[in-house]
Amino acid sequence: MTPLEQGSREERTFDAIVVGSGIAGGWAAKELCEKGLKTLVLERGRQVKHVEDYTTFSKDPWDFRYAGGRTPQDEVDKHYFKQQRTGYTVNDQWNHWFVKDDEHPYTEVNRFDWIRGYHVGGRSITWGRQSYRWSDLDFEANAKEGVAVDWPIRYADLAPWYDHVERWMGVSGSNEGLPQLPDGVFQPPMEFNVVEKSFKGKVENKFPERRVTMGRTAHLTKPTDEQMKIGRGTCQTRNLCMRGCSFGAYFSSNAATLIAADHTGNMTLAPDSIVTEVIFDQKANKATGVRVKNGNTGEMTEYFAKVIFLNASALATTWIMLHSKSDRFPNGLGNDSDELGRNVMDHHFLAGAQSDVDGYDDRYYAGRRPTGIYVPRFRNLGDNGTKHKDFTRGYGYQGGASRSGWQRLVAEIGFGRELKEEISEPGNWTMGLTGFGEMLPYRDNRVWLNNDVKDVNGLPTLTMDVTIRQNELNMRRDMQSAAVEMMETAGFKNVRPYDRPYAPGLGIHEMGTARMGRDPKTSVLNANNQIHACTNIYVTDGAAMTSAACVNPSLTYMALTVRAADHAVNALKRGEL
Amino acid sequence: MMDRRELLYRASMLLGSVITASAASGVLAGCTTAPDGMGEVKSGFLSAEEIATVSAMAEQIIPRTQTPGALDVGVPAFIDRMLSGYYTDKERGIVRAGLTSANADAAKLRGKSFPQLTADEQVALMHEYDKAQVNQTRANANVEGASPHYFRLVKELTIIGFCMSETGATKLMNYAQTPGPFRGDVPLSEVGKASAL
Repeated sequence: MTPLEQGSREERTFDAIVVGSGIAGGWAAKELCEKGLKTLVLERGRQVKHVEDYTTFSKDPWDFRYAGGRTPQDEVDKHYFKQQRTGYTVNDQWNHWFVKDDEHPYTEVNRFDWIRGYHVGGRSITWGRQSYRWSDLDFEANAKEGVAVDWPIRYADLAPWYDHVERWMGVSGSNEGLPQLPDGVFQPPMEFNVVEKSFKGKVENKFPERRVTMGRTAHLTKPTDEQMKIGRGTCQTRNLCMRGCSFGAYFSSNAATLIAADHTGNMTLAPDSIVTEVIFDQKANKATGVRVKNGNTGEMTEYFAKVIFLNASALATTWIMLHSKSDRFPNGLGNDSDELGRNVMDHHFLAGAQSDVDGYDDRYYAGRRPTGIYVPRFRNLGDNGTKHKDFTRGYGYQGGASRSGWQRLVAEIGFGRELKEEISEPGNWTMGLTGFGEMLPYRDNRVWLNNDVKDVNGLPTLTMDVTIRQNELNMRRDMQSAAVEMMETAGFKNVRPYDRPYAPGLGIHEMGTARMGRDPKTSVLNANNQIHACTNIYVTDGAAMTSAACVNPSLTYMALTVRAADHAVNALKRGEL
Repeated sequence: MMDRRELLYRASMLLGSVITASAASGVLAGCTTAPDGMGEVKSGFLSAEEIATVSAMAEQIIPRTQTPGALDVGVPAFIDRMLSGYYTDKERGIVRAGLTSANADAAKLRGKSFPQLTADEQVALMHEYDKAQVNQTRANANVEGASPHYFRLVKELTIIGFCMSETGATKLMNYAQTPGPFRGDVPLSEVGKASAL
């Protein structure tokens, strides 16, 4: 990587600037660099080098200061009081990948869980890696139902770019031929265990509209030459992914896109560089660059480029746009429609069922599979048979079966020799399913700039006011009852529905705050992810989403990004930007 | 605090992954920097008498047999470290009061301290404590902020400390940091023991 030197305006001028190095920014960097653009990648947080900066990668459980890497409550209370709301993000194994809430505050009108990572690679180090395509069921839903605004694209616009992304990053999974969950370019799926196989057979037999497949996950099970050439290898099923993977077996910016971008010689990566605003030239009616605050020294610098990709993550990108005020855009860059910051969506989850499974005492599995089973959406598929009277859209299930471990003994009565013997034996099989449901775009679910609360860098922060509504609440009831129904069909015992407290953001799929659309009056971005009124800026992270679908969104951000990068390079060639 | 651990446990159940607990051995005094430089490690909450009571209980919970037991892997020091650095004042207070009450029970029974009782006498009392902790845990299952029974904490910490020690994880269970490609359906007889993670 070329070190970033401050200097003359010429030295601070690039062909392209990418703001953010997470899952979208990494792809923008790779594509733009490979297409020959001198590209500056600005990351607000610290440098994280693949392998060498995964400080906990090779630790065993007994290497941590407290049990399993648990972080003491006083440290949680001081630094991670919001980041800990997931229940799994704050732990010495990986809490260096999450922001400190005392340094990066935000304000909640209603509870909103904003789980962030400020460092090179962003949340691509800690993401859930589930990778599903959208279908036309998703792209057409708003238009058909008269909800919000229509997407300006359809599946056919994105399909070749999904191919491109899946092939290069590596997704393990199986093709199912389902219209609501399009097939893709997959490496071999992970294996089912014996209980999941039985569940699949019985459920698919009883419910023809339901399919039980293996979670499509961005892990290499049969790496290509191209993947091995940049140092990536086969998944070793440690399931310690959130520590960072030195095998490069799961996809992250650090392990893949940033390495490829660096190999071109065209990338300049600048960590500790907080973009505070986009510089807008009113006469030319385009952006000329960005203003950057050094995260360590506070020093301000300007960088210039012909084209800018905003990939800071949905809400951080929105923050930059809201904070970029000019005579032309007094309410934030590109915000003629007043939609900037509105329509916040996430996936609501933590409703489903759990059960016990009798038998299969002589069967087990080997390794720690870093994915589970997936039941694609089966409600409201467009026919009468799948229509549900209580809600629109749908949900998919993620889950799996496993044998309980020694942890079960804590809750059981008894101790002594018998307990000790049980430590060596796997416990009974259990199964769990949780629905991941689509959340509709509501205009008054929004974020805005808060000038009264400043972060550690002295910059304004965000206030969030986001709630789920009746459609989501109705869906959650069905997420429980349909899971119960399937587990009972499978013959499982002690089937227990659950609906645990969910607040928007907890899915870590926040999106929608600078949506794409056909009409500049009601949307921020056009069909190519360009700001309607400032076309040399592309927004291709979660902010761009016009609706949420029910599948994990990262794959779609990536496909939108590579499509937009291709558009940007061609538009530059044509002299349009 | 219990809420967070409960949430952690639930999340681990839900995701089908196990977010485990670990133990480390070796006695550390006061407050030192963890070997990985990631934060402070505290110890020294428990007095010598309290360590003796915790040790007696830990030995009965996971005794030394043909294989190592709780005392062989340093569970008492682990419990002290967890209480000193991880738990809250409230929970520390619960454990302290509980250990005092166990010694009062022993005094009433035999005029001795708990560690001075015979193993059978200790086990008989501990069965009472175990019943009490199970009942209290069940009764408080849906009570937010409810206090745990001290014996629940001692038992839980003994099990966690043992199972996530190197000896517990590798001798009594199968442990591989890097298992290799996943095999979904394997006869238990082929792998023999439960997986530690």
